[in-house]
Amino acid sequence: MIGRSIRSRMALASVLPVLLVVLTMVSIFWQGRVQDLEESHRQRVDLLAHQTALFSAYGLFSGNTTSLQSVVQEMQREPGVQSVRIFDASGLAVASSGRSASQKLAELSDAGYAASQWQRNIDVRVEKILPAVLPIEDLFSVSELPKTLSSAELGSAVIEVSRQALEARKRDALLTAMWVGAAGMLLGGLLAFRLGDWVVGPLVRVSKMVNRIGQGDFSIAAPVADNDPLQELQNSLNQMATRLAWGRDELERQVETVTHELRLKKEQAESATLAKSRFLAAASHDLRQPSHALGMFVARLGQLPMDAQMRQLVDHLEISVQAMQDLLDGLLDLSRLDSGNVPVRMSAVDLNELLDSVRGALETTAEAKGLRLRVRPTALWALSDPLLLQRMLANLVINAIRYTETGTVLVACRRQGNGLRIEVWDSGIGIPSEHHEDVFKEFYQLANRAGDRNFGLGLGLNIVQRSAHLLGHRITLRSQPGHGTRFSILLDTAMQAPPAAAHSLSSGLGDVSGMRILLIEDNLDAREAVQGLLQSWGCTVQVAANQVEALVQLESAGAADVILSDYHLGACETGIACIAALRAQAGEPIPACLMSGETHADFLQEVQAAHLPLLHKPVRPAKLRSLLRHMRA
Amino acid sequence: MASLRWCLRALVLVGLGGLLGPAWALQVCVVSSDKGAAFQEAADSFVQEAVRSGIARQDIAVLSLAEYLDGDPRTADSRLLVSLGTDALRQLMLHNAKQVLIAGLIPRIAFERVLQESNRKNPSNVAALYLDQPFGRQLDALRLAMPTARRIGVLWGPESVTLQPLLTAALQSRAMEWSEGQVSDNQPLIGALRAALHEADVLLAVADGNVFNPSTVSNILLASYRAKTPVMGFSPAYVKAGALLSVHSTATQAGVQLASMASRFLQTNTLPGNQYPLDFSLSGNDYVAHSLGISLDIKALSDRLRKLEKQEKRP
Repeated sequence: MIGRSIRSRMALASVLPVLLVVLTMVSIFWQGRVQDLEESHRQRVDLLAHQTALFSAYGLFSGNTTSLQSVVQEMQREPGVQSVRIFDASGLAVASSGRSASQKLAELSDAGYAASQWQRNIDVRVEKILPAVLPIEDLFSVSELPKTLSSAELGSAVIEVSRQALEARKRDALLTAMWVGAAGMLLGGLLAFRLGDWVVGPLVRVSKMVNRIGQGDFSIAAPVADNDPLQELQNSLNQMATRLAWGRDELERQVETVTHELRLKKEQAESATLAKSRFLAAASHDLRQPSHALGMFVARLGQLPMDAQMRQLVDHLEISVQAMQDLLDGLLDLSRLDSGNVPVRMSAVDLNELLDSVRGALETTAEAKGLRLRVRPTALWALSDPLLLQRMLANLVINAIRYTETGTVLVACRRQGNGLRIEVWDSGIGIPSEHHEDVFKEFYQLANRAGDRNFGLGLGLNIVQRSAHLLGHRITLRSQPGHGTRFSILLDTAMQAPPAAAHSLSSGLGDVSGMRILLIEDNLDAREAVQGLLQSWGCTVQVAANQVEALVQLESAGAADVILSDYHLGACETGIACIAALRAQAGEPIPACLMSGETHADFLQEVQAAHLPLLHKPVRPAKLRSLLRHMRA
Repeated sequence: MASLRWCLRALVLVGLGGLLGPAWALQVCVVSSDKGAAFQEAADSFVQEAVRSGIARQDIAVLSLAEYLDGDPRTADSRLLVSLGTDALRQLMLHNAKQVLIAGLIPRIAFERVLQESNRKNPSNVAALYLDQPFGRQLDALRLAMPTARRIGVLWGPESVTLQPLLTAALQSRAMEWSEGQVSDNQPLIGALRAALHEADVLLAVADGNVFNPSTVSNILLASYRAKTPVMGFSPAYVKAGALLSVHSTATQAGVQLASMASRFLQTNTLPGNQYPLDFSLSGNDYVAHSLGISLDIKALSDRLRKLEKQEKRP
């Protein structure tokens, strides 16, 4: 395509000048030839007329009409001569030959006659016949000579010559000029095309080579001929291609090396992350059991009668346990999010109810710090996972309470475009703009570099961001140091769901006292702690360490209202299998709930497949109670 | 301007005269029509011959016609004026009605025409040396060259026809016949030429510019040649153009004769009569002679003619 374009332009640039030169030369040649022919013809006619006059001079002088007639006949024989006439001094025709339109000298001498004959392609010449003058130089001739008749003209000769031969020769000249022009143009065109090939050929070759180089093919080193007009360019291109090829190979080697190094680093990083996850999972799991038991014991302890000093001590103990369990919850959540197997159940969520639940859960915490937690009522519904959204919002509010010393934490909800946003305002210390991104990183704490565990582990906002990513929501942050902070969750609105379908977060109504609960827990401390707590709530608790004991309990005491089972029961038993066996034994789907500190994906999928509610250890007494109430309802 | 210049020259001359002594006058003033070689030749030979005959060189002034017309004062006081050519004669006749004048280098018919045109009351103080030759000399030369020629053809013009009696007399004295034609206005020359050539052995050209001139000479010579009639011209130019023979006087010969005439006048104070040239020359065209089968020996012919004339002059 490029070659064709260059070739056509080159051809045009070569042929046009040739065409102009040839046309100009042909035009000049033809015009010159025509002028020559015209001049030659004119001279010939003049010469014929002059000769006629010259030859007739003596005949007229001597009155010899015979000689005059022979002169005109002789002239008549000349090619193209139409007529010859000789008139004497008085205008009388003395000899004539050929045909002419007029016989009279006066008419033949008239300019109009000459013009009319010109139209008929005939030239008319009238030549005066004068006596031949012989210069005589002697003393006599010096004497003045009176003018006499003898020196006057002898007569006139009129000759008419056809221009047809001239016109034919002009046509021949034109034809010749056209032939010469055509041949010139043909030859010039061929030369121009040939020249174009000489010029364009190397250009096209170089152009193609550049194209191939552009496409990454450096393996072409076109041979360079000695007479190549682009020899230097071709050599440079070959060198360039070679160097590019070397460069590419070198680059590929470097990329390969760097990629290898990167891969190693990535593997190391992944390995480190895996190790961290494993550590987190293991640590949280291993801490979970004692923490779980501790929580249960402290809850049980709190229900015992004691003096005020003891009560204060137990209250502090509860707060510390609570904080420790929150930290463990955070680690557990992070561990779950790391595993990527957090089930998402999108549904219409009543935001008013959700905000109320958050207030209910955290109002006491805020008040304990001297803050006011305000939740603005709303009638909006959102499309989200209610549990995850509640966790996100709770984290944001907890975060706000942590970093606010005085004032208010406000939770509100408002429409924004087609969606809506849930905002958490605080009047806290604020976040400098350079830390707006950092605050969402794991274990990042803005004002807790000293490691005050009251500020948590710095996982809350990271969990919020990961959960938002999982749900497809967006988190925004607006804050200035000293002017508080506003976190927003942007999410889609949802139609209000019918009351039955709506996921209710409210705890079931009613008490748990009197419920018969089969508690299956292989860890003795945990089992006793939960048993004590349940019993303190008025529940009848049957305990079993494994599936066999549970089946015995079923046999002996009959089916319980709820089976509360740990997941890991000994070496190779699981709570799921145990519950399934109990249900099979009882012949009815006894409501059951699993408790576990496991977070890995296989476990979660297994629990999900068994359609069993799961309480993550350390189980909060309130949460356990809430679940029991719910199951009873 | 001319008068002013004249006055200045007169003042200079008067001044010179006052210094040198008594007033001095020229003897001869020669006025030439033309500055051509022939006129110069004639003037030079005149001066040489005049000095040789005893006239002091300072008594001779040679002027061109233009100088004369500018008013050279010497012309007014000279005893004798000599004109060379027709124009000089006409101007001298016009401006000097009284001074003695000798005309040279002028055809006879031209002299007569100028004399007729002039207002000179006394033509006796004017003499001429004709340029043309006497008919007798021409006829003698012809007879010597062509002894068989008996009949002479003559073509007369309107002026030269006045010479007809002279020719007739000369012919008759030599027992020769003639045929003649006269060229007249509004008539083609060929008629007169045919008449002149009728049975003529020789066509004698007469110095008449109306008949013989550069426009006619070619056709006349051609017609004569076709009629196999040789032409006797009156100057070497005609011989060169195709005439067989001519008898003529050279400018030198004319100058010598004019000086002789002037010398005589200065010595005798008597003006000689009009004269034909005494000395002459012959020229012939060998090609024409050969074409016509005529043997021509100019030198011998010239000698014989001079001899003949000497014999005729003897009593």
